Amino acid sequence: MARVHRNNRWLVWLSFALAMVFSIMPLPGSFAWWRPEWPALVLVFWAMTQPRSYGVGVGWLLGLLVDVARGALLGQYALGYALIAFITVTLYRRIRVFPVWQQAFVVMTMIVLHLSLSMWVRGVSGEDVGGWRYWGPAVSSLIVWPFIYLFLRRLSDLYKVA
Amino acid sequence: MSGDTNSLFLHGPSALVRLILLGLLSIVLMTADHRLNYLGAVRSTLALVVYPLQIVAAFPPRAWDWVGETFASRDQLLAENERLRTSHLLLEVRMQRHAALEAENQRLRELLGSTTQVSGRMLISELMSVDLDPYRHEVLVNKGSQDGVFEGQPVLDALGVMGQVVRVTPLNSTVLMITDPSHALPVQINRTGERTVAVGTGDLRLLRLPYLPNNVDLREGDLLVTSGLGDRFPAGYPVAVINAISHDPGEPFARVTALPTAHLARIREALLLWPTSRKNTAVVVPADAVAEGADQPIVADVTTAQPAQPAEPAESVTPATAPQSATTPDAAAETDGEGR
Repeated sequence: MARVHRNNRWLVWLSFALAMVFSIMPLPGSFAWWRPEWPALVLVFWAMTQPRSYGVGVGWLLGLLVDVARGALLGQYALGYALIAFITVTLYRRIRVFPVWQQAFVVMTMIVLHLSLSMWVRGVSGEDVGGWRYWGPAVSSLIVWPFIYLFLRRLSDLYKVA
Repeated sequence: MSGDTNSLFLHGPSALVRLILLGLLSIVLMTADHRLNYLGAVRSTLALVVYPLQIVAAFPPRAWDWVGETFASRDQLLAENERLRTSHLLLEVRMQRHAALEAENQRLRELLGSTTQVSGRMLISELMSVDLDPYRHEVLVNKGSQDGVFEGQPVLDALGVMGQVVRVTPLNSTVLMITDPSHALPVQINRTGERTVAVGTGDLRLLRLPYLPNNVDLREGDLLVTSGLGDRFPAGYPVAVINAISHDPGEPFARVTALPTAHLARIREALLLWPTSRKNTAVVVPADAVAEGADQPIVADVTTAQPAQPAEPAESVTPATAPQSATTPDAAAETDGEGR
């Protein structure tokens, strides 16, 4: 069993890579404001199902790569994602047994926290983030979470990632 | 790995400790990145990891373009060919005059005893269709330090100034566009020679000219060109066209906005420019702008050297009094002509 697990680790990293691709893929016009935080969603899933292997450190590293990919300040996403991973790893027993829609709200709360941290960082570095559109990603992540969850669930069952 | 023996509890406090440590590390990183610009190497290394992902992300739009081009009808191609041929001919004709003018310009400059400044080497780079932070006007182009791209390099499109390079990695580089709120560009009104600073607004189609006094000679439709005073952009490239002027007698400066001539929202290819010698502009300018030249290059350097920190530089561009004091003489002389 253990061998199978280790061999399927690539799937997790592939899903992270794909999520990052989605996070920089060009979207038409104002859709860009509603882009879900794909990497954060995937991170929450793996941190929730395997809190022992994917936790704060992985979240931070993923965030750092997102920082580079999106041209943000180095550490901005890293901080937010580490926080998201921490909350997930701390609450994973509860989140796991929630129905999907309830999970979605927890996820949205975490994204809002991440965005707040991010807004604070932007404020300190003098960037202007006025407008309600800033919170768009939290709403779209809420909507997208059930699909992500069911998809990754199915995938991890199929490949027996544990 | 060792958690199997005690699978009910994981890590215990260590997750919190890790969060705190990594959080502190993030703050250190952000400070270093923001204030000190030390992290170029770290960013370049990580950028190599991210590069394949960027290629993948940019693939669908590229593929779509390719499909469009491959299956374009023959008529379309013929029409496009015809159009390009015409514009090529027109440009050729204009170039003939340009060559003569450039030679004349050089001769005159020699007479004046100043150095020549013919436009330098150029390199065409393609924009990578990758979305960056929507709060900054930055784009990624597919040339990097391997091609000799350097930080602060001017970038143009076919119609005007687009921006400047702010981050370079070996394989690609990030261009900050002139409409970013943190960007300020020393410009000159082509008709009158009035010098000022064009500041980005955060809107891809608009620039602000906040430091023009109320009595300045200005009309809608006036072309703004680079003045070369920032020592970054060579002089004389078109930047924007004035589109709205409003005078509020209660305020010291007119409210002026301009539309960039470059199609910033639709750019596919960008020209990276290697100015022949960046010192030349400084040699040419002092003749009539000593007072102003003393201030403006600093303005431009402050604003352009640290583009990662938007609002702040825009505020530090306050030597608004400098353009005013330096330009009022000729502005006053020209306002009679305007009579408004």
